[in-house]
Amino acid sequence: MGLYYTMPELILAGGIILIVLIGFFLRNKTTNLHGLLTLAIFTASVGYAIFAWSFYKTPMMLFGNMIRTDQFSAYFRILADVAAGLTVLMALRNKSLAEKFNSEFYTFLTGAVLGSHLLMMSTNLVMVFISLELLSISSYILAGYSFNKKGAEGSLKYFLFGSAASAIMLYGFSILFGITGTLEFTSENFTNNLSVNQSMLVVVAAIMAFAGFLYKIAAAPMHVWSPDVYEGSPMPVIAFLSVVPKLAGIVVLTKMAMAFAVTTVPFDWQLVLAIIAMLSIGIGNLSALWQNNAKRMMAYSSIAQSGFLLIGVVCLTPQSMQAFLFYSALYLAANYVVFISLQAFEKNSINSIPSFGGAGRSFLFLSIVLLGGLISLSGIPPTGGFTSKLFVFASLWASYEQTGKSILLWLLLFGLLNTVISLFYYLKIPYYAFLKTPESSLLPENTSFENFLAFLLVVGVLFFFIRPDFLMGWLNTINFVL
Amino acid sequence: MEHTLILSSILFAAGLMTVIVKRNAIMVLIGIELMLNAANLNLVFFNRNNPALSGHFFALFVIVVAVCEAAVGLAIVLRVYKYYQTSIPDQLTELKD
Amino acid sequence: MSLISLALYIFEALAGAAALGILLVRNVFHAALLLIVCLISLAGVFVIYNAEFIAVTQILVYAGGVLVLIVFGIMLSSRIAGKPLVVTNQYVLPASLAGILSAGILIKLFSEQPFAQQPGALPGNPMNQTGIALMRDYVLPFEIAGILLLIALIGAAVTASSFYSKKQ
Repeated sequence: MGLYYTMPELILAGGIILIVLIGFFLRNKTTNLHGLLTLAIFTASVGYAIFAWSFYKTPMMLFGNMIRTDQFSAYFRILADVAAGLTVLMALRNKSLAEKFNSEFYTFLTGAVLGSHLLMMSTNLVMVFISLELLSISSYILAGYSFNKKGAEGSLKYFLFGSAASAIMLYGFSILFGITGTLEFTSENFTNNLSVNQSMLVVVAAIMAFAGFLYKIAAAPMHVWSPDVYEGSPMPVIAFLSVVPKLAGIVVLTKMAMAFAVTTVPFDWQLVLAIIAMLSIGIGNLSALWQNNAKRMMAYSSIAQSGFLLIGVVCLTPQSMQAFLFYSALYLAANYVVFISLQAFEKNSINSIPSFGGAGRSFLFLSIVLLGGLISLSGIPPTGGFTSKLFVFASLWASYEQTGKSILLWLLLFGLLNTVISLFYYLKIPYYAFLKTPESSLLPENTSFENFLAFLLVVGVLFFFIRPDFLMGWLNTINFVL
Repeated sequence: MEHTLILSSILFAAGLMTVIVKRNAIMVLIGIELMLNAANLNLVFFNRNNPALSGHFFALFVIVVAVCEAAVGLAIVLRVYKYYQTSIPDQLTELKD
Repeated sequence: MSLISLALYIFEALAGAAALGILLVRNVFHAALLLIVCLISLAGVFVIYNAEFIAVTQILVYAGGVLVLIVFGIMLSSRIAGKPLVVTNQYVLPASLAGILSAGILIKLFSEQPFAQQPGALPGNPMNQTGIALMRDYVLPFEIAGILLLIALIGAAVTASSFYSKKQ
């Protein structure tokens, strides 16, 4: 019975085996077959999730209370599949990826997506840990896929930080298990036992447990790895890392925060998460201002964006959750626009921000599309990014009026201020591209596919500015349960 | 107060210190293994009277994950060594602001 | 003091001493050997807490697998063959502060926390129970662990291979 509900995961798991097997037979051949097959797998997974949308209406506990399917997680699973599909499209256009361990690349990508699916659904600490590790270990390997000095270094730093963070998280889990006597963190048993045993130990354990997730989403105190990893990795991998692990981490963080929210522990998770969100937004934006490398700049931008994503968790009201769902979709689209265009520019050996000088002349269409993506990320009209930031801030204000916690007001003001600051670096690349003269003339490589793909996404981003109700109406039907 | 919990705290703190102090990727890995074992000790200890054995299973999966982590991690260390002739994270300075 | 609790004390003391030893030694190979001592003593502790299956897995997988990997790693990454890989320490003061602080806070909080004695006892034949539950309640993590091992196997091979990675 449960297999109907977890069909997307079955498709992914079967797909991993299929890709490995096909990789055996097509060794040493440069072919697009692996990529197209992976694309088909992700399409099938999304297709099934949409087809079975009504299945997820009533939450179902499956596999001995290991995972729960509901519309909240189904929505994010669809987003993860879409992001992975776009990553495959980017990888198909990346020559260096096609040459080296091509079928393995798609194996790790599918493995990471499977891990994120299960992480989003899990209601048991065992499941959280093992799916988080499936996601992380696949990401460590993907981060080293440029097969050069920088890639190896980024991969090592990612691995060392990551496994230390997950070991700390595991220690937090083990204490929570000791206090509550159960591993099912959404069960009443867990929350009741937490309420009964109020002590500082709960606070320490919760902070330790959160550390692992904050690392995964690159939020402020645990963000140091991300610029190095981003600089050393191939562009499709960065695009993937900046969306899928982030969304998966925040979804599971939401579930954990809900478990603490219903108890009366002395742990003020709202204050802690609000401070972390402020730190991420501030550190991300201020460091991004000084970057000269487009990849590093986007790394800091993604740190700041995870701060904005965290705002939804900080409020934890149905309104803020809807804003969070909306924001995630728009963040995904705008982020992929930027990375697809950056990959096209990288092909023409435009990497550092000064080398974008005059790119607006040689690549007019691509530069305009990139401008659209960057404007959406910074959150000014006429893009969906503006609408999504508006929803997030509105929900934050509503939450402030409801609870009267001053930290929420500070978070709101800080977020607004940083939206302005972020303009300075998001518009740096377009400034060079349109207003500077080219350093050297170069023969442009064909980027028509990238143009088309990024254009489609930009049209989507612009469309949701005009008609946000299109997505919001759908999101309103999602019910949130613990 | 149980002495097993004292041991687990000491193991965790020693692992954390090893991760920070030692300037070698393999030593950092050893420190991480210590931290994972501290968590395992907690899980087994807290499961003394639990007939569902959930702590034992968690510990079992932790061991499996630790193996995967060690295998991938050491492969990454070897690749770094191939490029840099060192396994000291601080001497990798290709990537910085 | 019964024989079993004496054995528990001895195993715990050994594990703690080995962990502190890892902090103090400078030779990575010695640290790896101390890690074996620590892991095997912990396996002894697990046996006393009725977790025989975990103890066996600990010895087979950890002491047998991870340690071999670590020793391989040490041998393949020492700069000059025959010369031991010696590491220096950094941030000694902040790290020892962090370590002592975290150990102190944890011990203090553990001692204040009344861990509720759960009612019931471990099943008489835990090994039997383990096998049944692994295939029933924990079948999903079990299968995912399989996929995780597959990914780690391929990943380690891809990462360590010198197929495409030329020195540059």
